[in-house]
Amino acid sequence: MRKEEFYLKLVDGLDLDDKEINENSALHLTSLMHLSLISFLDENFGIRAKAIDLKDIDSVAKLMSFIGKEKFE
Amino acid sequence: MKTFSLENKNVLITGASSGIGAACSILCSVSGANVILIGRNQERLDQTLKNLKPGNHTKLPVDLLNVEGIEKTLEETLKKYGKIHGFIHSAGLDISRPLNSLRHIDYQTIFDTNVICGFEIARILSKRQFSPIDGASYIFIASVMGLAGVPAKIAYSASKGALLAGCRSMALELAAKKIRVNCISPAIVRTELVNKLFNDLPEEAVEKIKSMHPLGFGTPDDIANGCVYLLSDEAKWITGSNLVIDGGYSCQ
Repeated sequence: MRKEEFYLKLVDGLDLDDKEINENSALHLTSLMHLSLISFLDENFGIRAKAIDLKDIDSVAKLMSFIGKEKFE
Repeated sequence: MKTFSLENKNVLITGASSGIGAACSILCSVSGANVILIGRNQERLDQTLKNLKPGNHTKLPVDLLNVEGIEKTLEETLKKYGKIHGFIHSAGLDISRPLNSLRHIDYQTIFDTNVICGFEIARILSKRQFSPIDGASYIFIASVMGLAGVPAKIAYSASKGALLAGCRSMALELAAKKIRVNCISPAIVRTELVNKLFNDLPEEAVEKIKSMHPLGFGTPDDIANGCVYLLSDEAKWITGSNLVIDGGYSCQ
């Protein structure tokens, strides 16, 4: 997936306040956003994540590492 | 200890392969019923079947998402049993997603399993050929989430609320056939489904849910006991009701 497309989908999927994000953006995830992120990962990358897998994700960069850098172009 | 008797009763139970449905199946057999087990997973149905007190039991592997196919599959088996005195619709799906992550297919899937197939089975069982002259008892396993809101449970709580509402109308309609229709609304019962859901939640969210149950989480047997009572003749004047079994969850 193109990074720009990923950023747009992430903003929409998590309903983020900040509409323009990039790899350096921080992510402050509430418990509801954790659930949205689980759906987002399943829908867009086929990743079946659990909340515990996502507990340390506090930035877009960490999320992209979790997904796998090779998934982005 | 004297328990409510289900001797000479045939009881059909959906979701019988695990959790509340499996516990209901076992307790119904202990109370003397012949049980027809419905579930998707053949191996797990076999496991439930093994745990039943001996009787004229059978299993029926049915995918309840195939609502259209239920009637044909069911009727063949029901003809062998004749009349059906009890029905417990325990099959259920849960999806924990906030509104912005829910899609049409999520609502459709959850309503098909939790509500529509249960009502379809009730329609089939209430036909004259399967309905005993002295009446029957149908139970839909709803949830306290059909009464109170919980974030990220929109589809699930809507489906359980639909069961509660539909049950009241069905009770009125089927009273003439002496068929009683009731719901049981549990709060959190520790089943495999719930354990799986808890794995998707942050730890603090699980702790918060736990603290909302003054008597702690329930067990499948807590719900099965209520079902056996509602199926028994001792509950012959109860219809259109909702038995809340929730460890005090809804007191608050």
